[in-house]
Amino acid sequence: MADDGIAVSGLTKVYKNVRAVDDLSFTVSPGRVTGFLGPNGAGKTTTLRMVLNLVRPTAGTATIAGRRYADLTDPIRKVGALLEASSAHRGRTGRNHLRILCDAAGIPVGRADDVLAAVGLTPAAGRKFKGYSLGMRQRLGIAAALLGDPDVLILDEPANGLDPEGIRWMRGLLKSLADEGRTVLVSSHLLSEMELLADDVVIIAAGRLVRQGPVAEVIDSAGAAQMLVRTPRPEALVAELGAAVTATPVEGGALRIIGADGPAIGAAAMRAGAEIHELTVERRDLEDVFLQLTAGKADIR
Amino acid sequence: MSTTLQAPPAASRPVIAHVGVPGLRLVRSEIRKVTTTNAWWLFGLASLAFTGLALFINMSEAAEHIRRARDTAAVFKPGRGMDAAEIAAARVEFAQLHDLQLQAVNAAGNIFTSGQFFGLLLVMLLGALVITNEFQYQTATATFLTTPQRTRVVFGKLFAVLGLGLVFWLVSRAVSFAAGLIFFHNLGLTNSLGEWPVQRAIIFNLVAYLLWALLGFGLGTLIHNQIGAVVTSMIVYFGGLIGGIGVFSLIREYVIHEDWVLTSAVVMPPIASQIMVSPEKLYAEAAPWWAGVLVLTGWSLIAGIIGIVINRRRDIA
Ligand SMILES: Nc1ncnc2c1ncn2[C@@H]1O[C@H](COP(=O)(O)OP(=O)(O)OP(=O)(O)O)[C@@H](O)[C@H]1O
Ligand SMILES: [Mg+2]
Repeated sequence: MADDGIAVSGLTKVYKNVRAVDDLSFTVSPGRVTGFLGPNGAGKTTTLRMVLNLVRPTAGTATIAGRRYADLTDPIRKVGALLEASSAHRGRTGRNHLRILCDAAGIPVGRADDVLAAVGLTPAAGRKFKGYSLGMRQRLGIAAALLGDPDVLILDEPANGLDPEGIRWMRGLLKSLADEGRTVLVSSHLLSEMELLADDVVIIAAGRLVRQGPVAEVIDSAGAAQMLVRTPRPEALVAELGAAVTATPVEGGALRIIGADGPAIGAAAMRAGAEIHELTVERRDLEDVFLQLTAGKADIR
Repeated sequence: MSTTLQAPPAASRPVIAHVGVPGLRLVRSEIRKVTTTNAWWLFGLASLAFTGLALFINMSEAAEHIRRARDTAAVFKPGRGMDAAEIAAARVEFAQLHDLQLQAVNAAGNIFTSGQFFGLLLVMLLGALVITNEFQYQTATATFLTTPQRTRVVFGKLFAVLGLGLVFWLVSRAVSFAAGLIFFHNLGLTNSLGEWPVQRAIIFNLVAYLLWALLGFGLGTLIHNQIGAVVTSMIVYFGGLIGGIGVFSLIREYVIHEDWVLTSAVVMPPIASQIMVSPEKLYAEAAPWWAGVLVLTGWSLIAGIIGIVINRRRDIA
């Protein structure tokens, strides 16, 4: 890939007793925000660390703009990354933490203050890292990712610990970075936030790819719409609908039905002699689709 | 936090200059890592305190020796029941103790290298910390993201550690120079700085600072766990001397009755260091000074190279 996309191909990581990532392949396009989703322990962090040459893959490759991370000249001018378990020395100020990275990358140290201002951390720039709150630590990590004004951003749960204003700011920032043509890959558990932010999603579970594509397509692909039914005889209706349909009671005595559309439910109700008091199409959101797609695969391994 | 955050306006990408000399950037970064935490001045203070203490002890001892050497009233009296050889040896010793020039040179050698014992331990620990800090504080992620060529990072640190060793030596020597010059001036004696044995002691003092910093660094590269590396360094430093002499003497006594066993005690780093800095032979069978240099360098290289090889493949998580 000649552009600034990310390509993951056959990536596998086996730890002693767990296949953390299992033959995973996907691509991330420039100019779009791509959400990287998966239950706890799905292998998101491990995948991102392999892309960034921090963890050695058991098999497979990952490239950024067609090159392995270790082969990039000036990597932090090309790729900005924020990872969990990335930290600063407790006794060092945020500004000095960034200046150290500037020194190593050949970036003027004044850039540290620019990115501190960009993440709203200027008032705490001279304070030691041990006194930072969770959100401030996260902002420092984001500042570090922005240091080299990179074309590609790889962020592991960047919203972690951010206040509502910070989350909104992050959404605006990532969208504008993507609008400038940059590649943005961001993992998160905040699915409603992702639905607002992401253009594409990559969903993994148990180390394997579950679904990849534009958010709207992934939602549509997850099968028939979800219906809400209210009837005095729910058991009869469910029995008539058969085993291919999942029905879950919701509060207020209604049933949520996945796998059957309006006409099918109407016909089944008539056969079962179940009166219908209400029948509505529920717009599905990313959260529903995610839970459906990862159902049964979400156990911590 | 009350600051209002705003997304930067689109399409105004900053122009970021390229600064610094490629090879030196990493060294500069590593030096900033050291100077931006408390470690350097805590270690610096400790080094100064030990230098001061050692100066006090060395100067008291030297004053006593010089006072004795100046005592012209003393005459040699052989002990009762000595044979001819013993008397000759005692006479030589008496002559040395009352040789003012010799005593002044010995005193200068000790005073101008004061604080060596703990100074070397401190630079060794600092060498180990420079690398283990990255794992202790999880900064390895940021470091290796900036420079994915991990071996280059190790070399950047290596030069920073040698620089630190040099600075610690310089400061410790500056203090002992000032104190020493005043001391000899007050006694109305030459400071002996023109004498080769004194110059040699000072030069090898520097070599020892650099080699111990290197050894600590090698151990840190090999053992990423901070407590593990520090404890190992302490054991090597304190245990190597006492344990080394004991073990090699026992082998000589009960297993291999050859003198080369005692000579080979130089493989223990602290013994190697002592052999290197001593102007005279530490003991009759001691290896030559350059064997000490080779041993210290050798251990640092072995630990460092194994560490680098492991480090290239290690997962940073
Ligand atoms: N260093 C390691 N040693 C052994 N197992 C590991 C290691 N790192 C990760 N794993 C395992 O690999 C799997 C994937 O972990 P990973 O951190 O990539 O998940 P994740 O998708 O980031 O989860 P979360 O959403 O909780 O952050 C987990 O089962 C985890 O226990
Ligand atoms: Mg994770």
